[in-house]
Amino acid sequence: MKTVLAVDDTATIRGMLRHCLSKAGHTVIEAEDGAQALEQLRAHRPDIVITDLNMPVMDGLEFIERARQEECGRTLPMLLLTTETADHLKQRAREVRATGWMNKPFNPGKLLKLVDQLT
Amino acid sequence: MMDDFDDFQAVFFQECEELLGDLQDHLESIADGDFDAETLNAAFRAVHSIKGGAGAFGFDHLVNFAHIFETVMDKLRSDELDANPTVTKVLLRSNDVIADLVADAQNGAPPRDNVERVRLELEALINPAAADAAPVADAGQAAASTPAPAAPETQASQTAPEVLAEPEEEAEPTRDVTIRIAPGPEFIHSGHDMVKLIRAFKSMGDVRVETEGELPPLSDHDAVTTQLVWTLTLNTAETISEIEEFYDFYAHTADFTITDSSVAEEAVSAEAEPAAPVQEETVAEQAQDVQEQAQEPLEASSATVVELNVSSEGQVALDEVKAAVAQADAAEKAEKAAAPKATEAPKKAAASNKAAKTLRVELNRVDRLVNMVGEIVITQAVLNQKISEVDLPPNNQVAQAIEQLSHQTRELQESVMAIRAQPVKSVFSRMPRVVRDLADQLGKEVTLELAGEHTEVDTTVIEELAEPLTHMLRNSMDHGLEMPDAREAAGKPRCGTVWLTAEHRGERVTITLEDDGAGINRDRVLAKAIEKGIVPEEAQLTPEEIDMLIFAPGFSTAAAVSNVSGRGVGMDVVKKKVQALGGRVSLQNNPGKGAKFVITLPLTLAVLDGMTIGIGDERFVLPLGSVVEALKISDDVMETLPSGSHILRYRDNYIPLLSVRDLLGLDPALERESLAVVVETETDGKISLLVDELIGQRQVVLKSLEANFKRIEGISGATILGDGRVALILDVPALHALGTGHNVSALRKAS
Repeated sequence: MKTVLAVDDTATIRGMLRHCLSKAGHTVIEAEDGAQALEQLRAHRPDIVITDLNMPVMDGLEFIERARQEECGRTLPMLLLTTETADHLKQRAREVRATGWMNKPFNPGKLLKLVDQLT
Repeated sequence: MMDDFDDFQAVFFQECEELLGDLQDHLESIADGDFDAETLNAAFRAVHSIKGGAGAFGFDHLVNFAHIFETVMDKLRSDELDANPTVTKVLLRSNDVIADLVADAQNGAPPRDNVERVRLELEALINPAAADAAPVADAGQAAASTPAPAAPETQASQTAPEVLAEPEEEAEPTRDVTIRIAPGPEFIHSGHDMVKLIRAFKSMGDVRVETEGELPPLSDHDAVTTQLVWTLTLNTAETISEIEEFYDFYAHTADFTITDSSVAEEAVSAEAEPAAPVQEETVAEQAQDVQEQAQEPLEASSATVVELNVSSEGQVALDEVKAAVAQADAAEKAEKAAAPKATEAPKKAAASNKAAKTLRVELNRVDRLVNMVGEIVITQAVLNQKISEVDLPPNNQVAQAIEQLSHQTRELQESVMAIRAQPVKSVFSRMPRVVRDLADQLGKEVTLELAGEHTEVDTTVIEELAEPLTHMLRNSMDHGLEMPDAREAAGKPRCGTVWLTAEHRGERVTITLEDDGAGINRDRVLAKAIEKGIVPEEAQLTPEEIDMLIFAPGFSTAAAVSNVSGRGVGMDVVKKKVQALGGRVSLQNNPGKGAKFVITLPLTLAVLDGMTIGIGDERFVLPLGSVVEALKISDDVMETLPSGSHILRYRDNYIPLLSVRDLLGLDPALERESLAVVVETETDGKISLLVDELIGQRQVVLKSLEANFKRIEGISGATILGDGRVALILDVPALHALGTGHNVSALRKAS
């Protein structure tokens, strides 16, 4: 199955992502912020990234922007999973070439479908 | 799947506890004006994280409140709102409310009355004008208009059963819908993939795919930038808007044009027009919903073999694209495989190092460890004792090994103790809340000043501390601090102050609770004590003795029993609790100016560095940290006061001299003690004790006398010495109290 990098500073969300994705047979790697996520990205080369937007150290948008500079992140599906809804943030997401935008709370079934669809 | 979420709920609440702690710290810094952008960000993130988790579990009240709280925090960090006292007051209240909501969510309790009130206060900060115009009556409406992130979740669970019922609706006629997809230049670089997209469309019905445009020769071909236009003919029962919703998720990187064959051409182009804004919209936010819809027909069509019916030149093009994609894919895979394992491994190690930052361990396990270490310390002492009894040549290897072992044992013990050490902050941080609640309730104005929150104390001590501390704080606020008007009349600021501080003093921790209130009214205390039969009517008590009466069981001076300071179970329970922790409470009363309670506690309940002393055949242990020096004494440095108590002249000062023998009722001495040990106490200054001999210093493991036998005044515990004898650990201030009768229980015995 796929390797999913779950990035969120909230352990609860990471835990839920891990739970729902690993149940479907995916391998889940975690990171607590964008900086850690970059390291994990280089080390594990996941098939898809699901990242929070608001995080300490490096937020989700900056992470995606930087990841796109990396060889392993150029065409990687990277989803933002956030409670934010502001248009200017979505505009930023488009600029940094996020693959898509999902709102928390997430529906596990839909998330799995999306992961299948994008990988 | 929902059942397994219980585990995450537990994690969530655990996390909430930490987040709430952080939030409170940040908000207090903000209220104090001591903050920067990062403080605001951190506070925002804490609320945000609580909201995110709460939404996942469907705690709607919590989500709704957190949402508006978060909005206010967002305005603060974007400088749209100023952190003035009015605002910070609401923020602190909101902090209390959100903590309540978390607790209520955990217990399944309905939200409390104050939630709505504080929510409106928050709303007023966001939109002052609307708040003026919209009084409480609009509350429900306001709540409804608040975008509730939990809503999609609810919808999802509602639609779930419909999926099961779907087959009945399957008879719906299908028709061909044409979707033209023109990927933008960033399509692939945004992580999208046309093959996958087409595959996804197949979940809605049969798909035929055609391509427009020319492919360059394969040698010049760049699979990433070449922009072919794709036309999909989808045979589906889905409505246009459902399909639009589906591709909305991709719309920020590709242009979609949709044509419904069942509708007249003119009408369609009209319909395609309004679709344009949808395409222009930013990243699709309702991807989940799209997925939901996509899921339904998948069941119906998955069995169908979908053929890619393409025109001949399209076929070639597709093959080429496929080949190119495969090539790119293979290159990427190879690159992945080629990534040197050597660099990967240390990175993994680094990652796992990071994960090991903290570890949650059951306290029981640590306690077992502490007990075992305690036993090892005793065994070590036995070993040391035995080896000292054997006449070994100097530099004997066994002796050296044992010496080394004792160092290691000590280090082991310190490390184990460090595991249990925790800053008192976890208790102190609950107090501002107590003060705020109580100040509201009592109509008093109170500022709480905290200091030394980072002082570390044994976890077990901290847990036991919360209750007595809360009680004392309530007591100070209820009985100590005056009403604002009364304070003003007494020439004090209207707002009273309570100081709560913690600090290390030698082997002990001192926690001080001081207020600038009215102090203890001795006349009233004495009258009450006599009325309650705690002291006889004719008792002659010193002012300090009267003060100590508030610790007597069954004592309560509140004219009316208030639900604030309890029902007279107050201070004696505090005292008992502190004593059970091996600590003491003392009190300095300054009538009219305030009162100061001092709790001193041992750093740890398990091991003590002790000085072993001998009195007759008995062995006693004094906490080493408190021993100042030992003196040989002669008659001319000792004096007897008219009251019968003794004093010692010590460096031009007179200090109390206690006979442990007399105080504890040991066998009388054959000859008078020849030594005095001077001990420093936290509460009574220096005190000297008469002893027969000094045996030496050693680590001892504390065993509670109270748990194993019964409480004895003047003794704080017992231990087992290296030779197997039981030695009692002396509690010097308690002994002193025993000597002067400066103590309620001794007083009772006397009366």
